[in-house]
Amino acid sequence: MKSIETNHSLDNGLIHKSGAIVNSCKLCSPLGASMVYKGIQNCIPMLHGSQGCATYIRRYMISHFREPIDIASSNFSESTTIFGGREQFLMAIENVKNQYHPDLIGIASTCLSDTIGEDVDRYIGESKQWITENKTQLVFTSTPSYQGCHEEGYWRTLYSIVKSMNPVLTEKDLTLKSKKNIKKINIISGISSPADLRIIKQYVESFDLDFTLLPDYSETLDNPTWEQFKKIPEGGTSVDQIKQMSENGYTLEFASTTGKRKSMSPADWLLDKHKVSAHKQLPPIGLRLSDEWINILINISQKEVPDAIRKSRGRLLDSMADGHKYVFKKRVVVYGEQDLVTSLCSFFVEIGLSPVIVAIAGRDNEFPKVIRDLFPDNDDLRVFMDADFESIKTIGKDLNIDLVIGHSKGRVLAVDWDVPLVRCGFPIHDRVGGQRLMHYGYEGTQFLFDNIVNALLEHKQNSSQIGYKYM
Amino acid sequence: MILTPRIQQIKEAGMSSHDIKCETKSLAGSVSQRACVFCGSRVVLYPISDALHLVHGSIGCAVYTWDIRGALSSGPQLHRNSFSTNLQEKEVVFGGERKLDLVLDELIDKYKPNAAFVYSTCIVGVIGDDVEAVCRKMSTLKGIPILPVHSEGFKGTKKDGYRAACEALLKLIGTGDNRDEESPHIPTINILGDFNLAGELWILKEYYQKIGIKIQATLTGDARISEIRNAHKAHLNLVQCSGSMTYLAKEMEERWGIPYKRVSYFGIEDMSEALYTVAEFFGDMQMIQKTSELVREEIMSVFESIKPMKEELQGKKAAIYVGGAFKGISLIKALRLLGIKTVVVGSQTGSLDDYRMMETLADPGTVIVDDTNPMELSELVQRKGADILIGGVKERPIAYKLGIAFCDHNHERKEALAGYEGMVNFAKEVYASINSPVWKWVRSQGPRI
Repeated sequence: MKSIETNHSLDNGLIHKSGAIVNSCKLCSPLGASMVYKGIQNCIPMLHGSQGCATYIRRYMISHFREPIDIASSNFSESTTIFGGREQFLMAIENVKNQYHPDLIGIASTCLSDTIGEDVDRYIGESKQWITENKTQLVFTSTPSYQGCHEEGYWRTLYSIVKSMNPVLTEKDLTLKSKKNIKKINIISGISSPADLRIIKQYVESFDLDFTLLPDYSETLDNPTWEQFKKIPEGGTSVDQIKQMSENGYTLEFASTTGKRKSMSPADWLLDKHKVSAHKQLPPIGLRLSDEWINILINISQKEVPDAIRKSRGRLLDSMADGHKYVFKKRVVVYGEQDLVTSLCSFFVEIGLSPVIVAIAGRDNEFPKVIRDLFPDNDDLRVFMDADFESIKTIGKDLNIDLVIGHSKGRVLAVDWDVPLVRCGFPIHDRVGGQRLMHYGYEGTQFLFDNIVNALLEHKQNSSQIGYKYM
Repeated sequence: MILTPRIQQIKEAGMSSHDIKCETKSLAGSVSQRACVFCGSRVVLYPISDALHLVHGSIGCAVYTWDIRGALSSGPQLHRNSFSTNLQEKEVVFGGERKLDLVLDELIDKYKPNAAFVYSTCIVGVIGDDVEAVCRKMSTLKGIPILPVHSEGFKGTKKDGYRAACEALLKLIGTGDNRDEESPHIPTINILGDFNLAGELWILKEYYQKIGIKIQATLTGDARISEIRNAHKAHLNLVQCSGSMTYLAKEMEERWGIPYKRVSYFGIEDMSEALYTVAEFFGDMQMIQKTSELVREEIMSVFESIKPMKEELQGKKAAIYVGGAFKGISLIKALRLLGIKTVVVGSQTGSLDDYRMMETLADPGTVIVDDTNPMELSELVQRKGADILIGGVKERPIAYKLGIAFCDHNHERKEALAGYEGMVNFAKEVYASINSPVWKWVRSQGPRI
């Protein structure tokens, strides 16, 4: 009855044996890198490769955030692929500097530049004088799109940044360094919405803790109206703040800890090389994960939970009682990035939803077990990786699904099966407000729960001839 | 802030005799609004609805172009799926031909398309896959045309992508089973360069049918492979979107002796011209008479609808930045009809002829720009005091952050903006955006001490 082995017969249900992807769930690595770089103050992301990559990723992100998103490119041409990209690279950083005067140019590779073996670290090494003269720093991550997905690109980039700005110190440097600032913590967040990042900041601030949040695109990707035109949107974690992360007292990282992530954890770097204590947990969606987070904040701050947070938790619990019958054992398809999906599943346990297909954009061979451990009695559960919507649509057709939860592209499922779609995550391309969707903490969980319940109620109301006035 | 190497790509109309510099690679680091060769190919071929469009490469190229066009089909919806060979590290090292072979085999059996297009992307150009060979082999095996599209992103600019797509189309044209049958006896045309965004092609077809014209093939709005294969039977090619399809028209003239005329369907002047051009080509008095009646009727109807809006729009200023220059040219005229002056106009892929035409049409002092970027565009729009910006998805946030109105004239649009009907929709959209009460708030300061 209980099946907890990883090679479950219902897993890996991709229907195309040739390895074709039809209507992909995953996006590519450089997009993840761009998102991270947008979370750094006065930073312009730059992709080393063809200009198509930058333009398409800009378009994709603009359609979600509805903000200007400037990502530069070193504009490879045919001769670049033969003679190498140094000239294009140097031209690109010069032009970016001339137009934007950024503090940092965040560079990521593309499948093209990695395939031809571009050594961008060397170009950066050769640009030390340029960096000093122009007061513009350069940081690089390798993110070819034939490896992993956008979430992996995101974490590789975060790791690169923290590592390069908090390098290993010599013994002498270590003894000279000041004591740790124990009342200041590092928070490292995965792919989240600007609204989620604001919730993180709000909660941490309410415990009177000083913090550095990385990446912080809560403003850069959700700017208010501008009174005058800005070259680079305001907001973001400053380079100085990132460099001081090794001096802070604690790192809290919201991330999966399985598979390839083990080698991409900035918290681990800060712990191993700088002795900064760390706690890693999944993004705080639902009660268990939000409580876990709040407990950490209590421990660090030695303060009681602020009233406002305690009450919003209480209101969430109250609403869960109000809504419990509408959601019990409803059969759900959920898809998206691994971290988001894992946390959502954790929340589903708490309210009694039954996932039937859990699909993630990337691949992590430990992931199916993580999900199955959450639902040990669920024999009807399928876990897909490197997922595509054609497979999910085909397989889910006869599975009596009640609800689809995930980003906009899953609408094809909702329409085909005639069930509601609760939009969350990234991208939201067919509604406004994608950047304002909340998932984290008690507020975010509340928002999600209300949307889930109301989607089911609306569907029930609209599917009936009776025209119920009370649901 | 204009980067020094770009200075020649911007000029003020009537202020100098030098030609604008254009049709050149985008400057590295400039944040051009243009995408790549692959993008150009997709623009042209995307709407062919009964073909399998397979992107051979890693996942990005396919997923970022999944259903991003508003190109409607009256039948199959196969083109609205995103197919990728999803190349992984293994294929980058050992080659992707085997995977391409397997993918084509599986997908063609499953989806039963009437043809397949295989788009090469950047890494395919580098790892050296012989895409042509795989396509040839599979085409024989499956009995349908399988066209390789040489669209590696770095092999030039977006315009080279248009050409790669046209090359693929040329392999199809004239290959139908009934290819040697006689051309139809009634006046027959092909429409090139309209992609049936928001159903615009259907509007145009109705006009042509009313004046007695038969449409042989539409390249590529609402297109079907069988129609494209018989496109050589038309008497005349009408080419819109100067950048993308003129090459195809020229080749068709050379190979099949089919003449072509360049037209535009935006604005009533150009729309009427597009109808008269065809009627005069066939020289049929009855057709010319019908055209005259249709044009008169439609124009009266348009004037009636836009009159109240024109009063309020008189004196406003517009900035235009679009992909194809022909559109910019038409828009200058269409805006003039609404009493709006164009103060900035530019395109991603305009040719020298296009920009010269723009300069002729524009008022002196109008800024003309080629292959611009957000920094330049925002500066120009502000400097010239535009009330509205007309462009695409990447231009829209610039307008809104500047607190000015916007018209979505891009390939994602859901409102038909071509033809007479489109002119009224255009006027309505411009009017609605400029006159919205939100701007008063957006441009004002909030409460403060």
